[in-house]
Amino acid sequence: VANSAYPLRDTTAVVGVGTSVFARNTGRDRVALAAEAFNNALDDAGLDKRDIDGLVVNNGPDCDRLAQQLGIEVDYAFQTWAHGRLSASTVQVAAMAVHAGLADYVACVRAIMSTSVRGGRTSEASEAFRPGSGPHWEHPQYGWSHQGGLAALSFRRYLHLYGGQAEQLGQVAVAQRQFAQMNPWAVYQKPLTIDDYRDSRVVMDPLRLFDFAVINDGGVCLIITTAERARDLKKPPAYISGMQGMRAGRQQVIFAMPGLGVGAQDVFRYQAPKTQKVYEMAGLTRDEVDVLQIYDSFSPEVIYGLEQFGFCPSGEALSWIQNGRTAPGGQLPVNTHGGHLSAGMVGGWAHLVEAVRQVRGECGERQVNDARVAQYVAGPFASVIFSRQ
Amino acid sequence: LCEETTWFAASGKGRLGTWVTFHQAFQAHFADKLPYVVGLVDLEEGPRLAANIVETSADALEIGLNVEVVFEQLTDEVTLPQFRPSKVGPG
Repeated sequence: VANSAYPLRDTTAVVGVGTSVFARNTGRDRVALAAEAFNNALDDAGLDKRDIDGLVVNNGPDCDRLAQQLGIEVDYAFQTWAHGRLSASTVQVAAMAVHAGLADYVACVRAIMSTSVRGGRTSEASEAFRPGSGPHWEHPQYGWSHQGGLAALSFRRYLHLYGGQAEQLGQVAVAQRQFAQMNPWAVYQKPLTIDDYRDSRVVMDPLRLFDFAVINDGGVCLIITTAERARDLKKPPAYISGMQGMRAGRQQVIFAMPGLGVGAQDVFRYQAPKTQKVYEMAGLTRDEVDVLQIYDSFSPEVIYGLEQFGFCPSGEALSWIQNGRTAPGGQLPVNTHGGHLSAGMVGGWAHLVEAVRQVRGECGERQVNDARVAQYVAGPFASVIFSRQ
Repeated sequence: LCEETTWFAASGKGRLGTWVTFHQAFQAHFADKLPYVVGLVDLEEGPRLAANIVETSADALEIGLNVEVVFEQLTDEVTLPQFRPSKVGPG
């Protein structure tokens, strides 16, 4: 029901989701990956490609070229900077576009070939080398060209500020692998124990191998329309109930929470507010979230996400996640497809697909019992809440 | 912040805010330098710099450590500020 303070509450919905194969070294180009995901999303929604009159690309081919290559003619095409931290914002733009009447059905697309574009482990071609560096604050002249360096720097400061042991972080990768074992499309499905984690090589102290995302190719598509149209389509709508933009400013750094003294941040102990815009817009409380999807290119982001939104007491996430609290059957299941760490790195878009499927009840063995509300979190405080009614 | 900035000489002293030790090189130039440390240094004057922390082992580092600048001349044209643990206390 629309709300006067938040006219977008439950007035738009995701009606179709689709993915390509997620794998390392597929040898397929971005358009082929995007097209596979797009066609699967159309099937899922029960729509024809001629119905699609909007196209928003987050991380992938140029939106105008992609429209030509997908064989669609759209009235509304838009593109964001090719970063996963803008994934939630991309969904928000699509929802605003259909709500504003700029388009009826907007396809949101993400498709990249991480294994070949980034040359696998070699990041010499990365954006770290652009003048002035980018939002990951890399300094390649000092051997810091990899985005993960920022997560390692912030996590060391986190441990110093709040206490805890670096190896407690291993529970993030272990819990997500447990979900991935129940996910037939996850890139890594073999069991992972905390001992495996402890025995894995240190890549960037304090981070180990399993703290890093899979590097893989993959395409994802979400189709968004108004709630009114959504009710006539094939699947139950995943309503976009609440949203919150990405924050920016001195205290906001991707791969950190406020107060960790990286980027231009000050150092202080962060205290989450009682509520945030995403919950107010949705008309929900944090406690009503059944499934939480957190952007996790590096596992400390899961710790930061839990604390930014106040799911656990400030500074306590490392101990809070122990004993399976975020694992299958836990109190707050997190990254139920396996996340970037196990299922595959597709810039947060598989998290979004999983959130939609969880509220539809389509996740099979890994389905969270009676999931009604799923929250997605990416970058500094950006978020979308999906719900079924 | 203001629209006009000015240059001034800094003392070269600061404190180590945090650091990461790379055990894998993602750039060929650093392959024979492993493991190496990248630290964030808060200068006495306020600005924060990233640099390698040199002339020490990672095990000897701690947050808040007093550090001082040393200059590494890479080529005739390129010199990088680096930091090492201070020989003397804070300035």
